[in-house]
Amino acid sequence: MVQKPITIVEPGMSEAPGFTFEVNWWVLAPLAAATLACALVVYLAIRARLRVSEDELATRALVKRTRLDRKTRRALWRVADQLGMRDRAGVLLMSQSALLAAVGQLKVRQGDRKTAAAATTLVERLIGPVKTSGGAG
Amino acid sequence: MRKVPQIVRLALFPQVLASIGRAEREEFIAEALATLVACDTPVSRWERLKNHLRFWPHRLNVQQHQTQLIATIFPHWAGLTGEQRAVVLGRPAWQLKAALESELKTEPLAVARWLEAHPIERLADVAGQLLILPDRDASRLAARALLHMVVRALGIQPSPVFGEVIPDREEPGEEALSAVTQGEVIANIRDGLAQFGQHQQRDVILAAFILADSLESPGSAALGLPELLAEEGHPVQAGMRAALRRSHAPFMRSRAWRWMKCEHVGSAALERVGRGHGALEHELVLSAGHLLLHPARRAALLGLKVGSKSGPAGPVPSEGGALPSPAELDSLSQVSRRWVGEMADAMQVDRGVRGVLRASMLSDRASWVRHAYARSADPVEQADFVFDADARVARTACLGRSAAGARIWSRWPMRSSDWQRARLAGKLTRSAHAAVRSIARQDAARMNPWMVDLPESRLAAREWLASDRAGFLGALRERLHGEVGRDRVDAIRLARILRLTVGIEPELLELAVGEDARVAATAVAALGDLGSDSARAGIDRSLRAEDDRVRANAVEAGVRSAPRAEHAGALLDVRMYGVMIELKGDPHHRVRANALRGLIEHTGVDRAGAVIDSAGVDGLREMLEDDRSMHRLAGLWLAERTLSGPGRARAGACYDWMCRRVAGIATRDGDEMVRTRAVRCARRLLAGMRGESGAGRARAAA
Repeated sequence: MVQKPITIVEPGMSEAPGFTFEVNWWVLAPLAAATLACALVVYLAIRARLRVSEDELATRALVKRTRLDRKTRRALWRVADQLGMRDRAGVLLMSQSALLAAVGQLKVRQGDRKTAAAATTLVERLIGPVKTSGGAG
Repeated sequence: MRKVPQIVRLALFPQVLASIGRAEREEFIAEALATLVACDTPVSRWERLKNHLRFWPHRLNVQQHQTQLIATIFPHWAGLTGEQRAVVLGRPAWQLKAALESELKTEPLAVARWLEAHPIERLADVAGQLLILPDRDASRLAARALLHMVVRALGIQPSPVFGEVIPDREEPGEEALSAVTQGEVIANIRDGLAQFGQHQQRDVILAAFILADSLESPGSAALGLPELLAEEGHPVQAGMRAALRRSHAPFMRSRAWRWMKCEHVGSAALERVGRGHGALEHELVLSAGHLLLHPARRAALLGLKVGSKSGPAGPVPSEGGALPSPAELDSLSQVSRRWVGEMADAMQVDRGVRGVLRASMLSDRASWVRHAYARSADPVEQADFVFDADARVARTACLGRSAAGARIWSRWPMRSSDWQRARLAGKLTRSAHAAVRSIARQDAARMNPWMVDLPESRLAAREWLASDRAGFLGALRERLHGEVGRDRVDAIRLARILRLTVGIEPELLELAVGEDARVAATAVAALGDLGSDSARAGIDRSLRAEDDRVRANAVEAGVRSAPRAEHAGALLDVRMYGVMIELKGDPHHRVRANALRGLIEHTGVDRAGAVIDSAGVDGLREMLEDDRSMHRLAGLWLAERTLSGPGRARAGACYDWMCRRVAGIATRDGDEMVRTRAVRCARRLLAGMRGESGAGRARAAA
């Protein structure tokens, strides 16, 4: 590849100046790759955030502010997903009656054990200890 | 929870309120409202950036979430406290409107209830949408809300006039509404009327009647009623008829009275006008009683029958009818009472009832009412009204009987009715009211042809003469032979004015030698108009009369009736010239002045305009220098009449002397009367000089 010098001639000049710029094209390749990578990351981030509704984002902000531990957070999302109310998961955190009603719905639906455990965990963390019924006494 | 950002809480509360139980509701609603208000306060730039990143890449619309929250609160409205309601009602109207519209599909009845309880004018569009919903309850409540909005938007105060339509609890809007908002309310009423067949809500019709006084009113045009009524078979016509028939609100009777001439609702309106419950309803209609003058309304009223019952003074209208009962009549305003009688005349009313009503109008305590009926009363009643205590009533009644403007009023000779009029006019000349006295004096003169000083009397004399010449001349002669000197003098004066002296020459000749000097003097003056030989002979005889006044008038009459002849430089004939020369030295000033006037005015002049015979001018000089004040006075009278205008030329060289003499008398004469006369004379001479000089200057300029 032949380097083609670039000559700048100002209007009115009698002869060309002695400045000459040379462009090394091979330097541009890594820069372009890095820019594309960043754009891809941003695009994916935007896409991921756009898939989440405003209500879910509000719930996430609430979860973050209430400083719940990881286990409780996982339980919350699990229960919400099971009930199909991921958008309204914040309700479970804000209202005890809503939480209890949701847990009741889970009982009715006879969900899996992991979800039941998650619901119990959630209730225990947010409301208090739960008395289990049906013990031998 | 307290540390959760407000914007997050705002986004979550609508979901929470939709799913919480009753136990937590109060607590959460309070928190939600606090959040709602808190989100209005501006946040710092850093907080705004954090909120932005929290929801990135979404852009959270705070106002939309506030609207959503308000919409979630509406179903719980009954459980809100007063303060909490105030918070919601304090939100911007557009936000409330958006919240209501979002709830419209799911909870229309709750929204309608809320609107009926809170008829905020800016939410008229929501009420308009509710109105056409198939839910009858929601539609009814929306119609009621629209009615309240109209009342609030127009600032109508609760009043007994509106009855149950606008209850007393209704409070008009506090803030001043823009025309746009008022227009929104009216536009929704207009749409409601156009879609009346869909909802059939009577409150919309009532709102329309509140806005539209009559078919021609601006309110009616704004609601498009003329177009709707022109459309054949539009449901709103039936709605308006039903509202007019069934509504007991007093203002609807007033509207019925105004809408009566609209053919589509005319029958129902007439029916409503035929039912008047209470004094208020009668007051509302009768205070606009002038509308009765419209032929369409009067024609419609002819079909209205009014019931009657017997009362102490005769049959009276029964209660609940188109006319007020005696008890209701007393509580009406004078404006309304004024139209009761005319309203009764336009309806099918028993003759006895009509008479009783008219009698009560004629004896009404308000002069305005009496005044109205005095004008339409029959002549016998009018005669009574001329004695009314109120000057306006008396004057109107007097004018009603007056001959003002009538070409021929009396028939000559007068009949008994004319004599009654004349007697009444005579009495009224002593009325307490100045206007009545003035009219009566003119009327009395119109009835008496012998009051020669008054033009009305002279007109009566002319009318009599034109209609019956022989009769008038007979009456005139009879009056000339009367005993009262004053009457005879007036008769002679009237004969002169009417140029009838030729017809009464014998009587004049007889009176000229009569005993009464005043009558004789007047008769001699009248003889001067004739110019006949016998009249001249009569004048000659009077020239030698003992009475000065007769002699003076004879001189004047002689000059007037003397044959004109060119002789000795004079226009008078020889005989009269001699008489004038003889009488210019008469001891009586009037005789002397008249003789000199004849000499000055009827003597020939030379080419320069100066009198050829200077006897008259010399005599005037002598009079002005006379020692006797009455002669000086008469001299000034003569100077005033003969020296102005062409008299200046007649006086010739003496003019300047006479002017100086008049000025001297005006300043130095001992008699005040003479001085005053001299001043008047000097003023007239001066005016003549100025006029001549002004005319001379104008001629020179031309």
